[in-house]
Amino acid sequence: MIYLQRTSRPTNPLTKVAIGAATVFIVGAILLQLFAPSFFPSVLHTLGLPLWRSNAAVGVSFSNFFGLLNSKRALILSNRDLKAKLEETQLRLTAQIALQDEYLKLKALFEGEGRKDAIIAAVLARPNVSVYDTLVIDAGTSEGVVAGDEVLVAENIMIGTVDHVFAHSAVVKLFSTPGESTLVEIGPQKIQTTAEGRGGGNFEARLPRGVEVAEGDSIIIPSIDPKLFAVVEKINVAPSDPFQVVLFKSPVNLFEVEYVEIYPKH
Amino acid sequence: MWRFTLNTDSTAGKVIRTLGTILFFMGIFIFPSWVTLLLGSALLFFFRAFEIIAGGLLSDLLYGVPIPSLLGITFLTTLIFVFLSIAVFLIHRRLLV
Repeated sequence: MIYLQRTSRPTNPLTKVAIGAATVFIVGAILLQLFAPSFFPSVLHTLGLPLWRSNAAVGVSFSNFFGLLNSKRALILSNRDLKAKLEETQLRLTAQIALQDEYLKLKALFEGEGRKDAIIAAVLARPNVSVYDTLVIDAGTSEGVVAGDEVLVAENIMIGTVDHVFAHSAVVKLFSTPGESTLVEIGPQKIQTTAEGRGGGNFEARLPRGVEVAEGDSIIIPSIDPKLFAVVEKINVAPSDPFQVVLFKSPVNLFEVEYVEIYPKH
Repeated sequence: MWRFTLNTDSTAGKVIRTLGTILFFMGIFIFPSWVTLLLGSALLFFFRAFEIIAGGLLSDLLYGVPIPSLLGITFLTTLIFVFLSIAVFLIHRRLLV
């Protein structure tokens, strides 16, 4: 058999230096990430802000970029604006109907008192940009955002909580993150259950078959100030299963949301 | 029969690889994730551009949150690209290309 002979040529000293430097760099980076986990994300968010902002300023996400290239550009833009307006109106209406009773009770209790501590933030990156169910927003510690703050859309629809905060940006973890559990109340009977995230604003809950749930029922997050969480989309009942699987969806399209409101954690 | 050939050592190949890598790293900020994953896979397969693992790490550091259904891991994109790299390495060895 013929084997490949080892070369007798000495290794280039520059190669050795490069390998040594790379090793030191990698080990240093790992140690830094272990002991200061927010260092690299903070630096990267600072670098990424101009890119995200320019992308948001253009007002065209790359997911619908090709749709704008055709001759019906104006029509598409007009259609999108109208759809956005209609969607916003529907969201407000759904939220109002679901929370009307609570609102009247709370109004009687807290007449004239409203939550004026909201921070409005623009959404820089939506869930479709990464494999995670997260939003990147343009408000951070400088604007008063703190990890754990509640994130809402259209004043009454809760979509997630702030996970990491940086100087001028923050990462919002959505309730629909796969496997994320949230305590909710379903329907007019306010049946308490745990909603499990399924990604992209979708959720699932298992309830005994006898419990009455209908498509279109509102799901709220229970608290002194209840917030709309989702709306029941479909109910799956298998003959062999004593439970029914309730599938529900956030009324907000998380892939198109432009602004969010951040409230301090209760 | 049409056959795709790409000389990765040629100047054109190097230019495509460089532009693709730049686009990939920019795409982490602005493109949908499926575009970035496809671009990364193409770079891995045609150019063995293992630097895309660093891109996965960048994505995780920017957007990563613990995913309860995946045992709370926060480095999902890095893992995807590491597995893709191993797959591409094994495929290349098997195909002898």
